[in-house]
Amino acid sequence: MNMMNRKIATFILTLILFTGVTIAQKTSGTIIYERKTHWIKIIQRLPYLKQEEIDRAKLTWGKEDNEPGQKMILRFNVNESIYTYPDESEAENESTWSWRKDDYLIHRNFNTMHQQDWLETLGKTYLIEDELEFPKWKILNEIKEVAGYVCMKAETRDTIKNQVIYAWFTDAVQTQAGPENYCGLPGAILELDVNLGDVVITATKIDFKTMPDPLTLPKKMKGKIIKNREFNNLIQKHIAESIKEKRNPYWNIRY
Amino acid sequence: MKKAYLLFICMSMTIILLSQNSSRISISGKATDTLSVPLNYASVLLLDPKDTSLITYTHTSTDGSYEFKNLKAKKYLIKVTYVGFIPVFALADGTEGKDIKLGTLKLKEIASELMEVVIKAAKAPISIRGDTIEYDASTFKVPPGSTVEDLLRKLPGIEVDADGSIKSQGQNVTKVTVDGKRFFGSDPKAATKNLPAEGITKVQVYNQETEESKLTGTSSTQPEKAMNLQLKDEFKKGGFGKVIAGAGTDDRRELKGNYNKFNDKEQFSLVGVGNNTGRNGLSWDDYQDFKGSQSFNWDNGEDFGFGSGGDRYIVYGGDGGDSQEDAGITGSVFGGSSGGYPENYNGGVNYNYDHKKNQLSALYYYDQKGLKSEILRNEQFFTNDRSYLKNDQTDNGRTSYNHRTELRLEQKIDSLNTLVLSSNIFISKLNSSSIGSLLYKRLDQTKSNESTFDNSLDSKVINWRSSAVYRKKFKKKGRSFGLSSTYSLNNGDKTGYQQSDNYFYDTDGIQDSSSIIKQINKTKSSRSQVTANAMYVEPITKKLFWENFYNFSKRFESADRYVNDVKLNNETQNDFLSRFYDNSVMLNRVGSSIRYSSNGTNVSLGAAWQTFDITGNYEAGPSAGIKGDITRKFTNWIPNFSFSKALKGNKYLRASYSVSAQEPSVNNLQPIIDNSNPLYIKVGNPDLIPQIQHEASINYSMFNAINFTNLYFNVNYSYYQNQFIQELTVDSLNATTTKPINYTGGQNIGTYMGYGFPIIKNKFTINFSYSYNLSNSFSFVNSIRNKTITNSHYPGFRINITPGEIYSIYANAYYGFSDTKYDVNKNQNQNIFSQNYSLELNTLTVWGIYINSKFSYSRTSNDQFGTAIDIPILNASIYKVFLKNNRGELRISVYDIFNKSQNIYQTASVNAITETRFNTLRRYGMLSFTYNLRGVNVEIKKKRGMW
Repeated sequence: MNMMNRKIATFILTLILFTGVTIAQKTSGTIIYERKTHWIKIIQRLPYLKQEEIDRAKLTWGKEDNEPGQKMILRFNVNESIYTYPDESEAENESTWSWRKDDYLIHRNFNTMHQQDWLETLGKTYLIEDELEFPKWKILNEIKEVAGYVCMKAETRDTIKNQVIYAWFTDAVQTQAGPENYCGLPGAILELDVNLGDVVITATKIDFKTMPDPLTLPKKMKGKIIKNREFNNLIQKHIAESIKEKRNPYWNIRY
Repeated sequence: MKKAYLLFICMSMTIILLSQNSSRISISGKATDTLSVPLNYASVLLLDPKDTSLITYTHTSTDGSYEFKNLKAKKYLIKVTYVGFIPVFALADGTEGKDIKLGTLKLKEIASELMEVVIKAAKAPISIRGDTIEYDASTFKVPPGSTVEDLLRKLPGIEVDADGSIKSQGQNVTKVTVDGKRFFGSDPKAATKNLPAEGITKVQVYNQETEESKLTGTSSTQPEKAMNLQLKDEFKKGGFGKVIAGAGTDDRRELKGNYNKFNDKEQFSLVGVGNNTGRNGLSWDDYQDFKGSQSFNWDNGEDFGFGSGGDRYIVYGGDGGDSQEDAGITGSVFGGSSGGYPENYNGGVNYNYDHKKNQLSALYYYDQKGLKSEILRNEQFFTNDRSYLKNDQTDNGRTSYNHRTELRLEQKIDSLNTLVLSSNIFISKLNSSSIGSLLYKRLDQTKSNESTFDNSLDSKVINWRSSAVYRKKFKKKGRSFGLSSTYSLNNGDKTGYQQSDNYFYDTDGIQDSSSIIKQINKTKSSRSQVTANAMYVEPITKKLFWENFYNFSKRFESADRYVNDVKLNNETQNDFLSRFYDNSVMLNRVGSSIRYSSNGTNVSLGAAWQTFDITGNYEAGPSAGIKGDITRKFTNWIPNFSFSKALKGNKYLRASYSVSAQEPSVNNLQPIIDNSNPLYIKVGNPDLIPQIQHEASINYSMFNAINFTNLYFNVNYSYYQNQFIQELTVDSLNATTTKPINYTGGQNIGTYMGYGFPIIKNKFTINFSYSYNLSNSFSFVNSIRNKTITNSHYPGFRINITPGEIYSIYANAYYGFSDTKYDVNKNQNQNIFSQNYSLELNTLTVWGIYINSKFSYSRTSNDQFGTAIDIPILNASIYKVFLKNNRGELRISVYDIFNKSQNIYQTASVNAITETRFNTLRRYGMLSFTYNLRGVNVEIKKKRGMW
């Protein structure tokens, strides 16, 4: 380890510690995430597939899992957060072909404890308007770094899709917000691991800046208004039915 | 009553007790670093000690103090975290209902070397779990062949002495385990010096003493560290394979096997098939198992731009005739044979190496196809003034031997640059013979000519194709650049033996002439082509792109065809029929288009300008006096438009319009007469110009994910300018002369649609399909223009009954109505009506015995042929899966139980209707055994699969 590196490291370290001290103001800004779906891992969990078929999928499509993921953005201020696709100007358009993205916007108000999920599921757009309930988080004794921040690990379960969720959150970003519909930790969730690596959402860039209060929502957010419970029933029924009929249930719902 | 009273008292007391217990408490404390400096704004989490679930949290104030108020009186776990420090825990027991003062909790700073890597690396290479520090080995690069010791030297916080002893955080590592197990005794150096670094995924270092002190309750004087090396999963290998062997009546046999072995980086597979049933038996799954990650790599993306024409599609069958064009690996794997008695052997080996930056694939495949068949063909030809009949009977035998190797390398040079290199070699040998007779009759059944023939061909083709594609992306998103080049070489060496005796008769049945032909043709041909392409895309805005491309190709063709007449075993060169030529065709195309792409909508509009330069010279034998040169230049504009939109609810809409130009082949431009077959004479046409095809299509599809209803609809239209059509001249001796000409006006409109919906979701499904086709085509027969209009309707109906795992039924009915009208020979107008029905039943019977049966019935009637053809086919098999893990399957199958199989083709063309009958394999039974390493998969219901 040379002297130069050590100096840089010390500088960064000082910077981080300093950030920690002045953290109180870091309560609004944006976080860019990369959302990677590992289809082979998901396929491996389909109970009706034989090992041979799983191997075949792994052989044929295994390398596709190295492809870059979908960029997502979390905008947050003291009271609210919005998690959705970045605007075109924030996205990194790699190819000239454009694929359609499902309607998806997750709005959380931590002040009024209200949730508003606008999302396309099974070919239809729903607007879930309900009271916000935080997941029951367990705090684990592990730390790691994500996007330059030291994060702690928390665990919860999605009982509808029967998934283990790990969240890596940092108290250096002062918001209860996080990616997808996960929130309620003492600090922003910078990495979300859905079901042991099936889908991994990792923060790549964090910008602190003043955000409008309230956050601006898109004008068009039409969809069938529904409560959490009804929506969960719909998902649960679809998964059970698909598994029974030997279809992959996860093509038309968000994993 | 007393009891109830007592119960009431008990309950009341419980409530009182509970409410006493639920008196509210507060917990307060202070957080500092190890030097007692207060930590401001540290997070303090209040957890439930049972499962560490989060109840609430707060932050410390400037003096490092915090307080939780109004808490239930119970046990709590307090966790204090602060950036750059290791979190600390404290237990707060509030069961007594008193406020708790926890005092000062001191947080230890994360050692600066560790913090450095935590911060420096983009992807966390280190995680700290209590006392355990875990390193992600893959993020610390060591050269290939390095030992674990070399890897450890790279890990921050770890030091390795010259003698190999290890220290972590300045403390000695006294124990090294591999996957939690001790490695060769107690010397920690044994593992680190011997194991390859490549096999390690994680290095974990933890305090040795903490484990001991837990047991003994004392802390040892000298702290020590232990290390665990975790092995990579990918060193756990996978593999599968199966063998199927069968023997049957009528001397039928089949053998098929495949084997796969793979890990995360490498895939190795073998496949082999041999049979004389014509059922190749290799399914798409087998193909995918064989090719692995290369299954869907159809091309290397060498074509840039548009105008090349022709979609890429998979060749399933074919390989008919004497053509030795390379049908690709899918042609070898799936190529079957229809009719006749086949004997096929094929198999190969494939190896893929896939790593993040490199992909290498190598393949070898051998394919031998033999087919013996008897063909009976009845044809009726008609011209403006008369019709005649032709009957022929041929015994065909052909065997082809093909070897194929494919090599492909894809290298991601860095995140912006990619290079793909490939090289394929195809070597094919073909022996074929056909022996038979021909009879031409006038409509009144008097014979006009007859011949017998005995032809054979030995041919060898070597085909080599290589390509290089380079793609570059730029820092500016959306900008990209590509270069590609291909070179291909095709050398052929053919020797044909031709013998025919031809006799011509007048209307009274008296022979008026005869010709006896005995020839040997030797052809050496060579075709080479070089192409070069370039492409550049510049983003105008985030949604608008300007695409530019340039295509160049030059093809050289040369052939020396010696035709020798054989008389009394003496060969003399036939100067009239011998041909020597050299041609070249050069294409230059430059094009540009504008593309709009945003959220599922893609629109592209562009045009290209192209030129064909054709040069050639041809020559016959010295005495024939046939010699000449051809120089032609053609230029065209070709526009191109495409539109595609994805809508909510799995709905897609597409539309396109394209124009493609095809240059005339050099052979067709040569103004010479090829009368190697005296009854079918070919004449070239130096006036030919390129054929232009306009194509437009609209396509819509939808799938409802909730009720599984699907709908699709497609219309396409083609219009030809200067289409290549044949001008036929039939002389009084029924010898036909054909000459290619250009003609404008041919068109075709086609549509197909389908609708499927469940009556009972997943159990009872109905599908309708319908397609319609209308085409106009033209030909000239004896200078009279014929217009042919064909109208076809194909309705279809399918029912799937799939109630569960006991039985399933699939029933189909398909119909075809086709009428063809000719504006000159109206008598030849024809109506074809075909009906196809099939019923498939899969069922589980007693003792785990399955039955699969399929009955199909087809009936075709054509008013030009009189009687209808009925073909009922019933195939059935009965099988049982047994052995451990269902590895074995024993199956008895009977094919064509009614012994009614026959191959009959009825076709109608502008000036002919043809019926061809092949002899074909009929009823046979087969007993087969399958051994599958991964267990035999029994399916009553065809599954939707994984996607």
